[in-house]
Order: sequence, then structure tokens, then C-alpha cells
Amino acid sequence: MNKSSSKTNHQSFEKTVKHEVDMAFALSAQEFAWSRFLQQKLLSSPHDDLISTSSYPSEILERSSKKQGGEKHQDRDEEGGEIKKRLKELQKLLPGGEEMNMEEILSEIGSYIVCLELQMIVLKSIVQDNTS
Amino acid sequence: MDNELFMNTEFPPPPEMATHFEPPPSSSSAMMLNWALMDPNPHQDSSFLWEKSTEQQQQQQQQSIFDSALSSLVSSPTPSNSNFSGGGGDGFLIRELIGKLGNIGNNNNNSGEIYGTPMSRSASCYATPMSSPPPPTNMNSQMMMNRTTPLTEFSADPGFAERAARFSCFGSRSFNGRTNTNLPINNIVNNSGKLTRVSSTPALKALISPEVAPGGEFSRKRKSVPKGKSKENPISSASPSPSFSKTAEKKEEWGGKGSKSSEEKGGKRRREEEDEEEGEGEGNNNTKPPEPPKDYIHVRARRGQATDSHSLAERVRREKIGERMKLLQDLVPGCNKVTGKALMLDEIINYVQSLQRQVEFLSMKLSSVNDTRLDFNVDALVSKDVMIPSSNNRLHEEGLQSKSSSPRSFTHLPTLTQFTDSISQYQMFSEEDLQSIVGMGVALNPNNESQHMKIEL
Repeated sequence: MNKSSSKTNHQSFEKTVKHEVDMAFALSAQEFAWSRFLQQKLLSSPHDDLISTSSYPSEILERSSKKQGGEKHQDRDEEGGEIKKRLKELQKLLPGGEEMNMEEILSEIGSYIVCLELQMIVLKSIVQDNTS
Repeated sequence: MDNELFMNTEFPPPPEMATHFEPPPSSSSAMMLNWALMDPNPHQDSSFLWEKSTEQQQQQQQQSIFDSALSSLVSSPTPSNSNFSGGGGDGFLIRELIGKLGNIGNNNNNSGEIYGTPMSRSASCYATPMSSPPPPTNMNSQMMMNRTTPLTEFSADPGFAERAARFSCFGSRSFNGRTNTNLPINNIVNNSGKLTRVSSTPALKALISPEVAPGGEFSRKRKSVPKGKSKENPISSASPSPSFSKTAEKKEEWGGKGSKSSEEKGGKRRREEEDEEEGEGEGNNNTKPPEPPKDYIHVRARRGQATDSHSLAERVRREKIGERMKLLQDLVPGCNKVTGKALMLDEIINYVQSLQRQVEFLSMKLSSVNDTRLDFNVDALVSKDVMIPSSNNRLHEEGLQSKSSSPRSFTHLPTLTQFTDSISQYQMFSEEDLQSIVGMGVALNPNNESQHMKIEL
């Protein structure tokens, strides 16, 4: 029982940590739309999984299936549709991407990527520091 | 006579000069100069300014002769020039001259035409001897130069063609770069039919493209003439003159075409890629973005393209999207090899997903790591105030208090403190925001966290 409780504790703790990390991430780049969106989301519902791991494999599968479908047709006409699909996925990835149009997404994605990379570096360092 | 050439403003010498040079028509160099000297007559175009590159100084005497001869042309502005007025007209005439020179050169050598650059500033270099650096004078001052060299020497100058070509060769970027003597002269002389470079005054650079169009036609790919902002503008505008004949027209046409075609080519590629976006573009066409008023200046209706506002706006939009895709290409590793929007978007999606997963994994790892460490350093926590913006100090302190007051959340507190501890060590991060913000994040959340933690626990 202790284990289960500790496990739940750990899970909740993980959530907390994740929340913290996401919050830090959002706060680190406040000039971007996605950051503001993320921040709001975090503040409003801190327990939601903003970056859900479960969605990753599904998204990947979804995309791969789409790819195959696209390859089958391989028409130029399809390209527009494919691109739109991918844009939609990108929208899902990007916090706040649902409300943006194509141009915004593209410009926000760039900053999002950079900040993600930076966050990764920070987290890696933190983890390394704590584990060593 | 020479003095006259240099000093007076009339145009007596050319006829004389013409007579001088008629005899040796065989030599291309002489021919060129001959023609150059001759043609001004009918067109009363004496401003035949050729730029002198630094290399000229290597062949002092010959070039000096040439310079003097040219300067004679230059120095004697044609008051009777009816085709132009002022500096712009000069440039126009020069172009004319050069065009014809090129034609003659073509006739003789099947070589590329020569561009004479109206040397507003460097005209003086012709008059000055090679040894002395060309004074930075304008045309007017140059006309006062007292260089007297027998014009007959022109014809005898074997390297005239070289120098002429060199003069007319427009250094695309810098004068310094033109240090090699093996310039288009060889082309001209050797019938290669290529004018390699187009030397240009700074003013001209805007107009004349440095590219070399192969072939002997007088069709250098010029920078879009409409973009010319220098005084050479009148040249382009005044080009359609009867005397200019086909060369000028060709030039203008080519220049216009060149600019447009280059644009078109640049746009075509992207257009192909973005054609599929037409569907999306249509939706946004109705909404005129605020930029088009400004972009319309830059965006020109390409050949064969519709010129209505919708298509223009759409094109602008597509170009913007293309630009952003390029930027993303740089960001996302491995995107360079991928061509096509769809594939690139795929790569981007992959990358973003992987980044997100990594971040999540790291955060989980962090939570697991920190869970084991139960160090609790209140002092360290308090000292972290420096990291946090003053606006959040209150929050932080409150958070600290709440932390300390919540007995059951001790297991969590260390992690939060660990966060700040660890983060404080990373002052090295250039992103100061990140530190303070992480601290802020830690500080902000305790207020919520403590409550939630209590609920959770």
C-alpha cells in the first residue's frame, strides 16, 4: 500500500515537476504567442498534461498512415491536402496552434523549437547535476 | 587640338579624331576607339567615360594615351547634345557610345559588348597618368585636365582593346577585386564573346548587374532598371532614342526582362511549391494584410502573372510562407536534404515531437532524481530571491512560508528547492530569463502547488 501510495505520490509529483518545467518553459519566452498560451493553460489547469506522452505514438502512427496514403496517390493535387494535414498536426503540437493560421504557425514553430531545445539543455544539466 | 579637346566644351575634336582613326580599321582596338570617337560626332556625344580600374596603372603609358584620348571625349561635353540634359544625358550618351562600341567590337571580334560606365566620379582617372591615382573628381573637374596626348597613338595601341575592355568591364563588387589583368579584354580580343564584368561606379552598381551574359549580343543582364536609384536612371529612361538603336532597346528590354525573369525564376520555384497552397491562399486573399501596400512597391507583377490585388497578395503571402519554411529548414536538423513542403513539414513535426518527448522524459527523470534527494535548504531557498524578479519576491516568500508550513509536503519541497538550487548553479546560462523564470515558476507555483499538493496527498 505504501508503494501504491508512493507511486501515486510519485505520479503526482511527476505531474508537478512537469508542470513546473512547462511553466518555466513558458515563462522563458514570453514574447511568443505559444508561450502566452501555454502559460495561461498552465495557470488555469495545472494538472492537465500539456504535453501528453500518450498522444505522441498516436500522432506518429497517424502521420505515418497519412504518409502512406499520400504516397499512394502521389498527385500534386494531393500535396495541398497533405500539407494541410501536416499543418494541422503542427497546430496540435504547438500550444495555441489551433487558433493560428498558417503563417503564424510557421513563425511560432521556429521559436518553439528553439525554446524546446534550450529547455532540454537546461533540464539535462539539472538532471546531471542532481544525479552526479 | 588636344587642348581644345580637354578644355573647350564644344565638340570640334571628334571629327579630327575620327579622321585620325579611320585609317587603321583593322585593329580592333583602334576600331573601337575609332568608333568611339566617331560616333560621338553624329550624336554629339562626347562623354565617353570609362572607368579605370587599378590595374590600368600597370600599363601606364598605353593607358595614359588611351586615357587622354578618352578624356578628350569626356572633357568635351557636348553642349549640343540634344538627346539628354545634364548628367543623366551624359550617361545616356555614354551608354549609346558604349553600345555602339560594343557593336563595333562585335563586328570586329564577335566579342561581347562593352559597357561604358558613365563615370561620374572616376572620369578623372582617364585623364590622369597611370602613375598618379585618379583624383576623385567629377566630370566637370575632369574636363579641366590638361592631358595632351596625341590621339594618333590610339590607333597604334595594341593593347587598346584590352584596356578598353578593362575600362568597360564593370567590377561587380569592388574595384579592388579587379586586380588581375586578364580581364575581358582577352574575351573581346579573343573573340570569346564574353564581357566578363561590368565595372561600375557606385552609382551604377545599382543599375548594372555584374553578371555576364554569354554571347556577343549587347544584352547584359542588368539589375532591374526600375530599381536604379542613381543618376543613371535617366540613362535607362532615356534609352529609347533613335540613335541608340537596337542596342539600347535590347539593353532595356533585357534589363527589364532580366529583372523580371530573375524574379520570375525565383518566384517560379516557390510558386511551384506553393501552388498547392492556393486553396488556402484563396481564403486569405480577401483579407488584405496590412503589408501589401508596402509590398506592392517591392512586388512587381511578373510577366504573365495576373496583376490584380488578390493574386499579388497571395503571392506575397506565399513568399512569406516560403521564407519561413526556409528559416525552419535551418532550425530543424536534417531538413536541408528534404525538398518539398510536405516532407519538410514532416521533418519539422518529427523534430518538435521528439523535442517534446525529450523534455518530458527529462522532467520525469528530474522528478525521479529529485525524489530521492531530500535536502532541504531553506536558506538556499531564501537566497534564491535574487534570482527572482522583485515582483515575484512576495510570491516567493509566500511560497516559502507555505512550504515551510505544509508539513506533509516536505517530500515535495525539497524537489522545489532542488530546482532552485540546481538552477542557481546554472547562472552561466546566458538566458537569464530562464533562471529567473524557473525560479519564478517555482515561486509562483508553490501557491498553487501547496494547495494542490495538499489535495493530492
